[in-house]
Amino acid sequence: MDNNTLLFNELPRPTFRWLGMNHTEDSIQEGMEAAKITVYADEGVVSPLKTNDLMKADYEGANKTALEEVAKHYTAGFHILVPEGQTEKVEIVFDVQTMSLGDKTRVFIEAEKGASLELLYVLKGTANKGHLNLLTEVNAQDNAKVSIKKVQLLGESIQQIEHRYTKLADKSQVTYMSLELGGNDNILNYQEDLDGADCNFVQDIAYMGDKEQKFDISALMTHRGKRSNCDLHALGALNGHSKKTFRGTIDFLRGCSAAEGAEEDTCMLLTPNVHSNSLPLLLCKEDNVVGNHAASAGQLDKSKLFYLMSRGFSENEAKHIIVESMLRPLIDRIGKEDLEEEALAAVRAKI
Amino acid sequence: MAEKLKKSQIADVDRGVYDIKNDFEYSYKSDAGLTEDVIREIWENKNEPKWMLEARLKSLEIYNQLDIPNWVPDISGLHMDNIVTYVKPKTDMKGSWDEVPEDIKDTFDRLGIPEAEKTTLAGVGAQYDSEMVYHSLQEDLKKQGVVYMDMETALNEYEDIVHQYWMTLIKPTDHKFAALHGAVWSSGSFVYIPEGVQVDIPLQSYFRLNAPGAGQFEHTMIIVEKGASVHFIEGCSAPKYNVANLHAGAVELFVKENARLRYSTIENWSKNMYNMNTKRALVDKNGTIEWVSGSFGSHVSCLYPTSILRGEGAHCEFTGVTFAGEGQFLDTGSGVVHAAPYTTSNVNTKSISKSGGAAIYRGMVNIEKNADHAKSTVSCESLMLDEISQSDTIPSIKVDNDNVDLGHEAKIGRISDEAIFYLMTRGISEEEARAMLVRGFVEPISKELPLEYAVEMNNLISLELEGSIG
Repeated sequence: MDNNTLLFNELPRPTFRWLGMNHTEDSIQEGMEAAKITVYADEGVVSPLKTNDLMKADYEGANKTALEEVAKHYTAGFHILVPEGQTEKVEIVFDVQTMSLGDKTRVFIEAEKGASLELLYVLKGTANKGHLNLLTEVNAQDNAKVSIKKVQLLGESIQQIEHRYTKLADKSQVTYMSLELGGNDNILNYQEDLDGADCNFVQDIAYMGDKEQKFDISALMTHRGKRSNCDLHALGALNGHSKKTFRGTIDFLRGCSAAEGAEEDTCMLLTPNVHSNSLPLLLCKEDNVVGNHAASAGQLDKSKLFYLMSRGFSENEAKHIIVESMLRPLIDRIGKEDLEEEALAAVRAKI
Repeated sequence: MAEKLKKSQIADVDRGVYDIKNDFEYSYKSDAGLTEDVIREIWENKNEPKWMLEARLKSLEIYNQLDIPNWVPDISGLHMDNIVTYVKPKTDMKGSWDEVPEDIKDTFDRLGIPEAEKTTLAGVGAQYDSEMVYHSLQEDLKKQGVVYMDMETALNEYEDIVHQYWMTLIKPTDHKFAALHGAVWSSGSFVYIPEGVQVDIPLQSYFRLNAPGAGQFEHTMIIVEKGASVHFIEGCSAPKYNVANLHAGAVELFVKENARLRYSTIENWSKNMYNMNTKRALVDKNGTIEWVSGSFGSHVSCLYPTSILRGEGAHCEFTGVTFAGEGQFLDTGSGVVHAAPYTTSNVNTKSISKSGGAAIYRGMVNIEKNADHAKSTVSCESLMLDEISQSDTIPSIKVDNDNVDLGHEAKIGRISDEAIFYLMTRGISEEEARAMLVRGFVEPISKELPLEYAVEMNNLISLELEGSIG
């Protein structure tokens, strides 16, 4: 481990050290210029961020150093405030046309009581080196609804580090959907505190890996609220020499009675040189809960492949259809036709 | 003769026969703590070959270099300086129970070992503290070339074989307690099943630790040659003391081509025991290893029997149950390494925690690059019986080959109120309804246990659940 090597996405409860899966060793790539960021929102909803403090003081993100970089030295900072009872839509587009990306963007979201927010992140561009470091903090107050969709189509040599912290109050509902299609080294860290009673958190992460792409996904969902619910699905396919590591933890703390949590990691392996790691943890100190996790990895369903080929499709075409059909339901949820086409084209290009 | 008690199974409510202590008598014991002098004394006492001293000293060196992994449960109550690593009982090994000293024989009588030997076992080994005190094997098996003896005798009579396999599967560098074992190991069982021999009746070794503040470090080595098969049962227990005891045994299993080995364990250490045991199996082409593992006792346990499937078509079946009660932290699980094509594994575990106990499943499945067509399924279910206990599931899955079929699932929860209500509407008391549901929960495991152990487990559940209502 050299001086620049950092530990990313450390497992909240480590396991056998010799497996080398308790964390990911990596370094922060160099980058020069910030992305061109365009924000689409109604007037008054988004304002410049004026804080260096973290919403949760002990949140460490994907890595403490990387988190501090973006928390204290952000190149762009946005405060999204949705007042009580209002409904807003915001779109933030990161367009990277520079040769050397060095972007640190911080977004702080406050959805007040009964407020509703739909946020769309679009990350795209032609830059072929550098890194993007994105921190999002979400405070969903009582009965608030927050939905964040993310479509990531960055250049194939870009390092993407995303930290996202969410706090859910009573009866709040937070839904995340991410399509991770670009970038080379994608380090994603999500932490949710389900503090409120009857709060609900749903997250879908889809990825499509190719060449040397890496997806290092960490999710920690902590239940404190009674009858709180979480549901996480990670779903994707790996091609070429790509690699995915999924570290998902559902932590039921004492007192979160009648809480329910589920997580699932499904990985389709398309070529012999791919790597799939999965650590789906369930931690439980409360008896009155229901917790489930599942992980699976394997090739394309041979019966589906056979069926399609018996209908005249070549093997490659049949593979296209199967992988596309797996990711399509998420792509269709983007809600913008041109972006959906772009995402679909990115998937097709990788198979 | 000690008081004859009804065998009341593996309960913390009443551990019955397991908690009866004999006077602490010995013919020799080492000083507490771990030094080179202690190791040289053990070696001299046992009259071992020179290479074993070198292996012991090397292990000590490694032990002193290694740290305790950051993921293990709290073992701050374990102080190696206070542990006596070698206690030789006041008898040599005997081939007849009549020659075993009365108090030691009574202990094994109460545990039912001599009786089981007469009715259901083909061979028996009984270890008391650091040495085997009894070993036997049916004559017809001896004639077929089956070897079942204590490890010291094997080291003299079959030195070449022991040397060839010794700590090749569990290396002292693997972890601190493997190094400790390599330094201070004593006794255990050696089993050799020649090619093609089917041992239809199980062999059983029973390990009893009577000495307070002592460690038990038995080494079990089983070699099942091509096409052979055997079922080996391991039992262990100790009476409860107010000082910490330590168990750091090692089990190395070699299953050759087309061979089959079933290794069943019921671990029932007392609740002052730190159980840091290591078990591994190496399975060749079309060989099968079956683990049946019940963890009920000890204060802290770290136990993850691991199978390395290195031959094409090798298979592993792991069935485990863990029951953690008050004051227990049982971190158990399994590991499977698929290192060859067409290897398959099924892991099925159940854990129950109650009265503040913690039951942790920690598992590992590795599918290596060359393991084409490997298949693995893992299922873990956890049941919490109250709101003060803990139950965690910590699996890790590593896949480096695309041509595999892997599935893992885990569930955690409590007994459904609806199910209890349904049974109560049929005239069953709440207590019995709860016990029935828990027994049903572990039924897939208990049916894999030898009958007497399955009965014991059901009794344990009833005992554990006594008074837990309201």
